[in-house]
Amino acid sequence: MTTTLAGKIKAFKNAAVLLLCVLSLTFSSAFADDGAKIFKQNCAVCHRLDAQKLTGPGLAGVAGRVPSDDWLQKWIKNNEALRKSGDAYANKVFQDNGGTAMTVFDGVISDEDIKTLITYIKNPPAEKAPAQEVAKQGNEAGAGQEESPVNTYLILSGVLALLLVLAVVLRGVKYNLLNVVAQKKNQPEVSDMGWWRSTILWLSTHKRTVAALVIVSCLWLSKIAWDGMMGIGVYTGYKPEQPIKFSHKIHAGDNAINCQYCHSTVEKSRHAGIPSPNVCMNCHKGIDHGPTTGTAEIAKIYAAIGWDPQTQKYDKEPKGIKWVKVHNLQDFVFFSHQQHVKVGKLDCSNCHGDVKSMTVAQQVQPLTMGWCIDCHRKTEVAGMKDNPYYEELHKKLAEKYKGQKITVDKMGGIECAKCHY
Amino acid sequence: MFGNTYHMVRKIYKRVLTLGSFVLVLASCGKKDANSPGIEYMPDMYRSPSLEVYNGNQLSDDTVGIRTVGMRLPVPGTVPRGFMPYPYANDTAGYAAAGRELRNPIPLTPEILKEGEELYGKFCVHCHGAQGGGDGPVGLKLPGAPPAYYGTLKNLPAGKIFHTITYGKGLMGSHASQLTQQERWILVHYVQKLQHSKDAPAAGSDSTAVAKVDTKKRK
Repeated sequence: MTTTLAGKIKAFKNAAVLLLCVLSLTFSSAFADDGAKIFKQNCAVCHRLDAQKLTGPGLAGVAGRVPSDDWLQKWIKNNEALRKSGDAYANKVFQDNGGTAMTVFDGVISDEDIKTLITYIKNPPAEKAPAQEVAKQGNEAGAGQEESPVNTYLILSGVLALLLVLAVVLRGVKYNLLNVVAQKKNQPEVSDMGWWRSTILWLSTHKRTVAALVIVSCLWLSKIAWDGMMGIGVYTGYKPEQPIKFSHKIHAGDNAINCQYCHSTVEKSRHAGIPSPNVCMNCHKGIDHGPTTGTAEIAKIYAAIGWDPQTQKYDKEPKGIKWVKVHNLQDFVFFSHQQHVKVGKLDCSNCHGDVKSMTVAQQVQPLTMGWCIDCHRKTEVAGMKDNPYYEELHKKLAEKYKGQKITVDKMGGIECAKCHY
Repeated sequence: MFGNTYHMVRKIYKRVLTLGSFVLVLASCGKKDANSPGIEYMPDMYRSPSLEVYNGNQLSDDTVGIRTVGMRLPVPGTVPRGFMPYPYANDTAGYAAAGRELRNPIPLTPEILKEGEELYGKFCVHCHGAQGGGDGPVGLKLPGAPPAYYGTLKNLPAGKIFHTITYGKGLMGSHASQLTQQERWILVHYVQKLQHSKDAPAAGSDSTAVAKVDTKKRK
């Protein structure tokens, strides 16, 4: 009996232990979930769970570094108070990280939550291998890419060559058949005078057709010549390779970053402005791999501005980036972005096309004088009613052109000296 | 008879062919290679020797002459016209002092708030999100999303907001090169509005803010 009782107790104990284990596991995973949330909301801006330094030190093995869990608790809650209390390790951490103070979380995260957080930091979830992730994203992006357009000229010339071969073969067949017929009828053989001479013969006997053909082809050739001449100095379709494979599609399209975030002088200057690398770093300090090119292209920004991602410091020689200018207006014409964007309230896409879908920046519009004037003739003056600065002028214009659309050309938008001086 | 015509026609055709191929060659010059802007008629008028922005610092040594001097770096300590230097240092003490001492010099009006919203849409929203919750498309891609204005940063004073836009904090970089001091103060107003965007409607800041402005206007 005793043995069975002892056995029962033992079994009960085992079951209890097992239950406890299971419970604690569930709890700890629940804690971990909460921990992840708290971490993401409050800590991840400055800390990573692995050993890599961000603004603050990497947290891998932090429990082994610090004096105790209790110390960690105090540090997270109010690191300032801990430092002021003269705690040697707290002041050492502060000095080691360049004297940058951590946010005080007293009153922001509760003591319980800090405990959960510490548990989470000690047992970070296994991370996905970033390389695989990049490869996966790369594939996705690759699948989405447009196919390279098949060259129409190549197809056409292939068809032409095929037709020529066919013509030569059929010609041979024709004369063979003619000779067979002649032999049957006991007539003399038909001699082939050669394709060139027979063509000339045909041409000299069909003068009207030939004249028509010559006229049509002359017209066609002069159209090609005309188009060719009109293309001189017009950069439409210019799509140069840039030193960094910057994609407007990823930045302005997928991530919905406003054009003016990077081209921030567009409302203040003639020039929209090419962002200096410090603007890139506003996001790329934290984002070091991209969806299509991995770390290769973003590393070029780091090199250009002298940022060392290992030490998280600008401790190298900055070099700058030599972007290739896409939209080039001739030096003899004045153009101001400020005037068009700030006062004229034009959207960037009016002149630059759908940049949000461009992987490589490209000139879409011709930027010729005819194109400028065309727009000035069609576009109504913006802010006729709500721009107090030009109130007087607008009133006069409205009187002068009563009942008409007041377009830019009506206020001198096509005068030579407006742009050429 | 036939030989004569043959030679005459051949002569004409030779001319037509030569002309045609000449025209074709000309036309093919206009064909665009994506990496080349195409041909320019008188390129020296397109790219005159006068100095333009982004010509770069072409000072290889100190040669001064046409096309050799581009932008020069200003002398260290140069202050642009109309610029007020920011007196607080980029450190913990400066951050705390800015929070304590700085007041927004721009009075709050509905127009200013509207301007702030516009600026916020250009310079902040992709990380901080439309409501300031740190849930913008870029914010979510960062190692850590920015803390919510209406959450962790609810009680951040104006001076600290200004200080952070000026110098950056954590993952956020300095936005001083993109925003003037005035624009930063306008943004501070809008960020402060967002700090209360999730308040209960009774204590809603929108109505109070507008009410405040109204009273000010009447005064």
